[in-house]
Amino acid sequence: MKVLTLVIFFIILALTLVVTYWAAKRTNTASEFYAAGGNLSAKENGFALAGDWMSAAAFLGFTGLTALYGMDGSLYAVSALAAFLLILMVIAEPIRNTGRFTLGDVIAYRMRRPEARLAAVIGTTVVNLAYMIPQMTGAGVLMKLLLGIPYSTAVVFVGIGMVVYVRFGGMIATTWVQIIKAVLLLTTAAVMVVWLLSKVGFNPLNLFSGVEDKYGAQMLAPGNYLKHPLDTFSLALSLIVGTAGLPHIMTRFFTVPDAKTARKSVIWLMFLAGSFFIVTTLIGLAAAIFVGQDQIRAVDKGGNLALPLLAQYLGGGAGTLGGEIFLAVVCAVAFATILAVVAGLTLATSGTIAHDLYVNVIKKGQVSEAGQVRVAKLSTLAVGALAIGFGLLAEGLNVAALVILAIAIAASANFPIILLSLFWRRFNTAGVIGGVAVGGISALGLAYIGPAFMGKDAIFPIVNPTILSMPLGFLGAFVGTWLGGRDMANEQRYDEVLYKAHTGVRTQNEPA
Amino acid sequence: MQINAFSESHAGKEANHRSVADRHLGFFAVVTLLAGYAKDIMTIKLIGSMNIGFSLILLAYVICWAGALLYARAANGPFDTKTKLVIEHDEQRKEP
Repeated sequence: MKVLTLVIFFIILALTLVVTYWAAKRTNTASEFYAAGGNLSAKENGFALAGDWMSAAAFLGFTGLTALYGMDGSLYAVSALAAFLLILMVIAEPIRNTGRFTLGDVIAYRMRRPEARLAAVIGTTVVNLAYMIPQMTGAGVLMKLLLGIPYSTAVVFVGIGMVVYVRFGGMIATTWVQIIKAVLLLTTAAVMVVWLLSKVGFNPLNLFSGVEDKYGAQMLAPGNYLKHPLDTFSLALSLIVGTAGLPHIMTRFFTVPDAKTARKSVIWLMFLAGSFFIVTTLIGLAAAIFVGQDQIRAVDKGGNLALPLLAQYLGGGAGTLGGEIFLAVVCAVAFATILAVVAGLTLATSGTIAHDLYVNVIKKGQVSEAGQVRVAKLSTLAVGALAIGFGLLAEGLNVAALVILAIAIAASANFPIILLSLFWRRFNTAGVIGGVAVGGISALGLAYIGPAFMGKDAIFPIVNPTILSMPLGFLGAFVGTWLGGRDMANEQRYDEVLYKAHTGVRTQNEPA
Repeated sequence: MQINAFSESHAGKEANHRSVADRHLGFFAVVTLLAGYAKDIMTIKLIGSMNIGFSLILLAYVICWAGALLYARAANGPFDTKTKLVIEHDEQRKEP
């Protein structure tokens, strides 16, 4: 089975490397490196967005949670879809129209101050690293568990893979790696669902009654995983607004030519990823019935291997050829998923360091085109090394706790400043700094004294801190704006920002 | 003064998008708060073992998809046309 998984995985890897080689020849300018030249179609960007959003946390996490805890897993999954409704209606089009390569561009377009861009650099880097480390840790744990490869080897391998994609192929390679992975994942899920439904007479309701017969009605109730009554609300809030503050999702909107294409790509994502999220409930329930919770827990107590174990069962069970083949396919797809997601994160992080910090803040924009690409590639190597280092240090840390942290910081530090930059006339640079500082620190602090890190002795009772830290982020932004005093030039410029955000037309006084 | 003409046509678009977004997100707030505080309601069975909770989750998917399509229809149709008119209008005024 190990050999089989490795063979399938290396076939996928070879395919993505061919794509990277092809992309590398088309990546010469900064715009091609960061944004694929800005001319992807809605369908291409939609598949790539879906690839970004159907991460291992969704593929293995949502199914595992549903298998072990029932309804809470389904609530996770549907919140992940609802996030994009907010992005579609409020964020995607203005972001596309005001930014070029990074979140920093959007904020700096409004504020025209290096301090504002710097605050966005901090927000981007912290969120991306907090999101990247659990993915790397997840890859390490998964490879160790399934293939017996040492944790550190797996982390280094994933690190090298993502750096190769991004360093050589930039956004074009990253996009196509995401598209390949999205197609593989959706196909696997579709096969699996048809197969498992064939076991229950193609009636999904039988899955619900099957779970009830085996584990009692309590398994179909909410609150088995999220204990505090406000946990579910805070989690959904965090996912919905946090996703709108995730820099690696945002950068995907710079890859399309106009707002209309950005809008259409979100529609693609919502139907692709949404249909996947909805079946994670069926897969989870089926895993609970056919594999059994005890066996799922025995292999991994977090439930992360419910889906691979179900694949093995459907194929014919452990030790049979069919079972081993389907298990190997699913494992290879899971690794490909992790690799693709970390590549997107690496690109977004090196983008903010090279484009925002170096080119715009340190060099004030005075860098040649070739120089920009060189710095971007160099910072990819640095981000890769950093991610591998943190990944190695993070062995044994709770993956779920780190994901909560990343999304809570995105919701509390990044989301308020994006929203206010686009929609509030009086918002100023001091407000940006106040929002990032207060939102970020309160998310970190509350998560640290919450159940995710302190367990039963938690001082703050709710797992996901967003319910409090996001309002604090907004408060920080308001107080900062007030302390900074009125900036009349900035307020007058707001009309221009609004016009650009909604039409995409360049205005006369705009910096290049 | 390209911007004034734009702001007027823009106000209607903003109001529409925000009210749609508010309604959808309001639905999520209700479902997640029910999951936290009204477990008895969520576990009332509707069809077979399928309870109100899972039915609301299913409805949430439908609402997300329908909301996205309705938004896209409004945006692709009347709002894009209006934006285009404003842009064209501004360009004509710049020329002489």
